[in-house]
Amino acid sequence: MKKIVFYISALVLMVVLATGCAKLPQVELDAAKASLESAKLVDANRYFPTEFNVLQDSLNAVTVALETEKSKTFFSRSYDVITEKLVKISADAEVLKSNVEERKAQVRAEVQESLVALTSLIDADKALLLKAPKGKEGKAALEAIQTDITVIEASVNEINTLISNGDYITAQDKVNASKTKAEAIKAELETAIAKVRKR
Amino acid sequence: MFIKPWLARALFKKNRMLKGRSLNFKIIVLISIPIITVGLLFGTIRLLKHNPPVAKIEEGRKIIAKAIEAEADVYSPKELKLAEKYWKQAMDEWKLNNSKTAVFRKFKKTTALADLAIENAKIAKIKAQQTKSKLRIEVEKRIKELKETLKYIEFATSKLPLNHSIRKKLTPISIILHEAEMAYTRKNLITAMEKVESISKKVVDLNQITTEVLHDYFKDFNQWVNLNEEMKNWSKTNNSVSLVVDKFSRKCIVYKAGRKHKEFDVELSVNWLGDKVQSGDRATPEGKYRVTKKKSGGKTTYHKSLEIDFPNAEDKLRFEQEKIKGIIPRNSRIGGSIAIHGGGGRGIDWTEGCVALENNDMDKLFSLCSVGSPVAIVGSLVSLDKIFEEFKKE
Repeated sequence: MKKIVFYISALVLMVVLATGCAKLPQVELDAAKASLESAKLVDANRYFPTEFNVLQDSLNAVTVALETEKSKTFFSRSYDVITEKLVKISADAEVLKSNVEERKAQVRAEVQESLVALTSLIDADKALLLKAPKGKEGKAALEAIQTDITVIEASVNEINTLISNGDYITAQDKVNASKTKAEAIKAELETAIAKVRKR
Repeated sequence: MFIKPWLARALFKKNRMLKGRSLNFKIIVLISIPIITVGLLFGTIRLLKHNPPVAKIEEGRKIIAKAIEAEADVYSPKELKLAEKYWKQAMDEWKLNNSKTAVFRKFKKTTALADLAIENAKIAKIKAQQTKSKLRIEVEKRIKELKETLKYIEFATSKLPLNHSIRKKLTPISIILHEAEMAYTRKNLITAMEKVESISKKVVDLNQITTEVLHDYFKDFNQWVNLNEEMKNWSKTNNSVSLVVDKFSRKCIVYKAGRKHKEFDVELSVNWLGDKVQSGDRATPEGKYRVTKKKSGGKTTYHKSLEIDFPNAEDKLRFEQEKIKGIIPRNSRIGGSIAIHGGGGRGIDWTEGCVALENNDMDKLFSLCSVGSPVAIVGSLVSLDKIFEEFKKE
């Protein structure tokens, strides 16, 4: 009889322990943290700051939920929802990473395209400079334009350095600014040449 | 004593029933004991244990997220970092307590840290919003001011031969300003401000140089206006032709019988700004002259020319005074051979000090003038104020 009672008690205890000791989703937590960290490494916080911050906050929320569960009595803990959320964070972080890479490639292509256009503009400016009106001392005025072209050429080197450092956004700004100036020089030279032809 | 068999059977049955009841009771009691014990144990734990400040920690997290949304990481990083530090410490405290037995958990410190996180996150959020708003206004204002100043300098350099000294400095500045504008458009206010700051002093210096040059150039404006009137009146009195060369507008005005008869575009020397000081300074002189010779054909390199009497007596006197004052070297020469000639239409200022017209215009001017015709070369007939009124309209 005593044996029966012992077996029943043991069974009750086992049931309680089995239902109460839910497994902590440590693997999923570590994976989510690592995914976010690697997203940050590829500049996700720079290219998609809103999306990155939302994911970071989701991870914080899950950490709070995790500790809340841990604070509960062991048999009432449940990590199922938390595990699901952690898996989702990891997956979202991976998607974000690939979006960043895609955006980076897009910006890099744009910068390189603009750089080609800038180089062509510089060449056009140089060619126009040779055709520009010169007088006995007119060279002095043209020297000033040549200085402008030299400044723009120097910016091309800076842009290349920025591209190799992966700083495409700054490179884009610089290439656009230099392009605007090169276009202005082109227009200035064309006007000067046209003025002579007209007369 | 003899017990009847039926009675013995009844008694045996009752005894078995009693034994069975007792066994059931024992089983129930023995099962209930561990359940009640476990229940009591957990009940006690529940009563004695402290609850973690989940609501506060959650509030801290949400306000930190709001602060980040307001770009506190950019505009109030110190306050945000502090909030994040307290929040992390609150979480660590909570974790530490969770590793203890329920009844021994205490969350006083966790609550205090969560409160600090909330407080600092609120400050970070408000400060970020204020800083961002102020910075946006400031950057916008500074970019606008710099653009206007650069436009003014560019306008002045387009009108004045300041290319050599100013243009070299102007180009890198305008590129950086453009970059600042793009950073502003991308709402990257910090980068925009850094770029603005990096060029502000240079723009102020360039503006000062340009303004000084312009004001210095226009100091003789009244004198130029009087010279123009004199030429007009002379043509009226003598019913003849007189010329006024306006260097700033690059125009040659022909007065005939007191009226403006013709106006031609001219090109000047590279350093036309200001009066001619000495030989080789490539400046176009200013003053009152007369046509001394008319040359055409093989006698002149530039189609046709009207030579003027530079240096006149006034020029010679000023030249000597400047030599005495040490403004120019003692061995310097005053120069000469200044003329109004053809060969113009190049689109730039190119002569050594002469005034150049397009050949067709020169033909007309040549036929209108004769030896002795008065020529006034002036800095400008339009005041500096009017020039900048025109600039402001643009």
